[in-house]
Amino acid sequence: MDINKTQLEALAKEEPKKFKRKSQLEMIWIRYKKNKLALFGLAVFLIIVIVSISTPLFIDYRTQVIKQNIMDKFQTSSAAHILGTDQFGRDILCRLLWGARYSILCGLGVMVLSLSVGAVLGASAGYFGGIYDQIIMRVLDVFFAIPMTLMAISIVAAFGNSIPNLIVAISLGQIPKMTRIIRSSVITLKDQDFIEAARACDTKKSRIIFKHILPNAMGTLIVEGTLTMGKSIILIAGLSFIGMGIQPPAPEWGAMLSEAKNYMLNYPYLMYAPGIAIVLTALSITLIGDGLRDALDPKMKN
Amino acid sequence: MAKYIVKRLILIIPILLGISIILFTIMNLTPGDPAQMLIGDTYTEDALVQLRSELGLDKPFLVRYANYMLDALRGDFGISYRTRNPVFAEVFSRFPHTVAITFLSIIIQLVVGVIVGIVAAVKQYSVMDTVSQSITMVLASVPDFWIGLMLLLLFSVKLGLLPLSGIASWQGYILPAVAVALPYMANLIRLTRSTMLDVMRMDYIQTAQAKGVPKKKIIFKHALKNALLPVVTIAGVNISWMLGGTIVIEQVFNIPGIGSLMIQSIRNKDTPVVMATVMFIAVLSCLINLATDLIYAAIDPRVKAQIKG
Amino acid sequence: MADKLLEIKDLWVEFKTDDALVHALNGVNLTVNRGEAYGLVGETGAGKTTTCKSILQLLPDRVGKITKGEIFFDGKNVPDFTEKELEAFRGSQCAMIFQDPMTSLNPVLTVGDQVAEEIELHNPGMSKADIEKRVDDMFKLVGLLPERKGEYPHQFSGGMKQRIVIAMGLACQPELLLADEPTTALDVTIQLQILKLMKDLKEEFNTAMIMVTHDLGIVAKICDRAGIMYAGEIIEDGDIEDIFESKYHHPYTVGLFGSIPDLTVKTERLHPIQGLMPDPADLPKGCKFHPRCPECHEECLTKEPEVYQLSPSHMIKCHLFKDVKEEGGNN
Repeated sequence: MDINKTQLEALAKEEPKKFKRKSQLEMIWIRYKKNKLALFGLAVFLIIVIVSISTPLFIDYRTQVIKQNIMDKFQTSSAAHILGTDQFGRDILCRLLWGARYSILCGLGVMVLSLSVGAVLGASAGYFGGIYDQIIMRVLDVFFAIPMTLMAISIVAAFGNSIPNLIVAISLGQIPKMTRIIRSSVITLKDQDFIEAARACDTKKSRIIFKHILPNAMGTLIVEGTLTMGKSIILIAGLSFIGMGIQPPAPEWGAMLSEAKNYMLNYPYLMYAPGIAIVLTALSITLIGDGLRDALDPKMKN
Repeated sequence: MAKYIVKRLILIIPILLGISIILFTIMNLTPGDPAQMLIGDTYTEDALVQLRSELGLDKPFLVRYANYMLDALRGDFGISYRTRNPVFAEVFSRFPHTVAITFLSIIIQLVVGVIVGIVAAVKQYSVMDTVSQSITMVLASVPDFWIGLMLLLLFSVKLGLLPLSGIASWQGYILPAVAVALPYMANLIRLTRSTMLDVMRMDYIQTAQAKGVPKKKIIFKHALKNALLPVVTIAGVNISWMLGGTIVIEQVFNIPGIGSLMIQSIRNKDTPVVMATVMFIAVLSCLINLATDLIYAAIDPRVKAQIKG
Repeated sequence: MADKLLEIKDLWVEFKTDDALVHALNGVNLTVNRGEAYGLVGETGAGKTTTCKSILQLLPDRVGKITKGEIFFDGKNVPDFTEKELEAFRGSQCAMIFQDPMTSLNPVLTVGDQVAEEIELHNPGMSKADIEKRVDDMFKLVGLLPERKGEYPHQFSGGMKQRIVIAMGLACQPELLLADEPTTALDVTIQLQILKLMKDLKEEFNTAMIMVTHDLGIVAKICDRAGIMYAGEIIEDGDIEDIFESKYHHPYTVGLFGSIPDLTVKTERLHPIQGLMPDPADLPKGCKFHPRCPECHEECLTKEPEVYQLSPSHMIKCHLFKDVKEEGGNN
């Protein structure tokens, strides 16, 4: 059935609709933008990252972060010290800003390490299956049975509490979960038709994994990665709090809290700032993770 | 079903083996000599050598490991390097405190978490829902030790209602339990709400509506069971995490539980104690996982079918 | 003179989402008489399911709304019912069975329990024993073994699940059954079985039915009357003879018939109707079918067609049939 004359005339009168193909990334960003909370999280997080990177530019570690000024100790809010000073007369704001460096660095480090190891292990275990898969899963079960905090403490006690050690220690606790998630994504994807098609074309196995499977599992990966980062920041603070992480006088937020605890009865204000900093950082990351999850999965929430 | 349980119980053994190897290795790699730490600052070389020999520290690694495992099988977990007391007794004496906190914490989490989650889902978009969404979002990102500190500040220092530290009375357990519970609870609320929302959108709920089933019955009979399935799994995972997670909280509240024992032992390189505590927790963890799976199977007939074989 | 059971008058339904206002139903008029099977035909998105859900007031809470019109069941306007009246109405006077049997049944309840619940809800005094007997009877009626009522949905095949769903729907012998594409999700061979079952049950209980389908073959087999639905309106309505044998049809209906491949004729290409169903959030002006209509003329672009009765039983909503009358119309 062909369009008749009347319809042709009608079509001609219509405005041509603009049809622009948007790339997938653009679509994801558009959906992400709709979520006000996610944007807020992203903004806060970016600010924190920028702060952590740029602090050496305007704060000098030795004079402002570490140096003790016993004369100025225990001051509350003032013009010179916006957040006050601590028990050694150090400016709390400066310490707080500097402390961001540890959290962001370790958080990112854990995320990258656990994601990459988890991705490789999980994807290969899921794809190849068989004994290889079984062995990996059993070994991971062992690591999974050891509570995260404990694992971290043991490794730190054994190998020292340098930052790389901390990152490895915490990653070890996250890797099993990452591997499991990716493995199950891969197993689901493996059976789908488009992989059959790739195999039918005689594609090399590694190519299949890297080019076809991983990009599709990417969504879950990224969301889990951000959530891991949030958790590890809290964990590091916890470790430092009990003295098994970053030690004073470094202004890591957890370490600051452990010092503050000693003065809780008389100077409770020391406990507020570092705690709020931890919460803000972890919260912004969680918001980003949730926002990403919603943006990547466009099913309507109504 | 019984076969399945037995199989799972047997599987715990290789896990324990694995953990013990890993831990033993790590503890031995830790710099520091337990004998040295024990003996203090004034000692003679001979005394040190003798102490080492008493503790069995002079034998090669594998021998020590083998001895340890053999003893453990007989129920003898050795003697603490630090206190010279049998490890088992040490661990056991500390255990109840941690368990009390964990148990109380679980109850708070489950009861409050699930109920609030269900209400939030049923009354979606209401004020209560929006408020609880925001609160849980923040709570899920708060470190439990900081909540503990803040709670201490409020209830102990400022209000004087609850003890500052320790477990002199039963009140001493409340704040630690709440502090541990809050982040997990926040997650449970969000999870319950989201699974409940998903379930309410399912076709079979529409079928029930079309049959004329009243709303209350739809929620409690048709939706709840389905919604609780993922919640059971996560709750189980939470519980096994909590066992090892009280470490930091115990420091905040000065609780003489397993957590503080562990830190002490790791610092002192008191290997026997560390090994025993971790293995103990690991066994508990596996048992909890097994219990979770069984409860899940009891609720979901599809899984029950799988297990029965 | 047939006895009206259901009368939908000028029903308009809107869905309000964050992005758009969707005009799902735009003035639907539909009548079903007692004991009669009415086929509701149309492509996906025409509004067939929405119509059925509206009858039972099952539109999604905050999103769907009846903006205008009435739904009379046995003389009473259903949208006016209270919650309690609705609960009594649903399942016992009017029941609905849904399209996908795989997801229509609750996976954690036994199938026997799900059927029993229906009976128990609408027969409050009934003893447990009587309810169980009724469940057994229903199972036998739909061709299932009553011994299996303690099993769970996942233990049944798709066809059997649909039988269970039908058993649930008819358990209280409703006067009207809304069947939303009950065979679409099933294999062709099973389809025939289920259709025969439904036809038998309809005759046994004298149940009126609205059979929603996009398959004209099903309409021919089982329905007494039919309506063709497009973009939220019924654009043609009549007895089965009108729909299949009349020489006058809405151009869309012609397209539907024409798109059925004929096994006896050798053709090079299939003849689908050109174009797509319009976006209900952005409906065309004038006659909603005009962008796809081969008979489209000037008037169609701006003026909506009225209802034109070609005979007492046959209605077409199209400008082409303004003054057309059919001889020997069916009563």
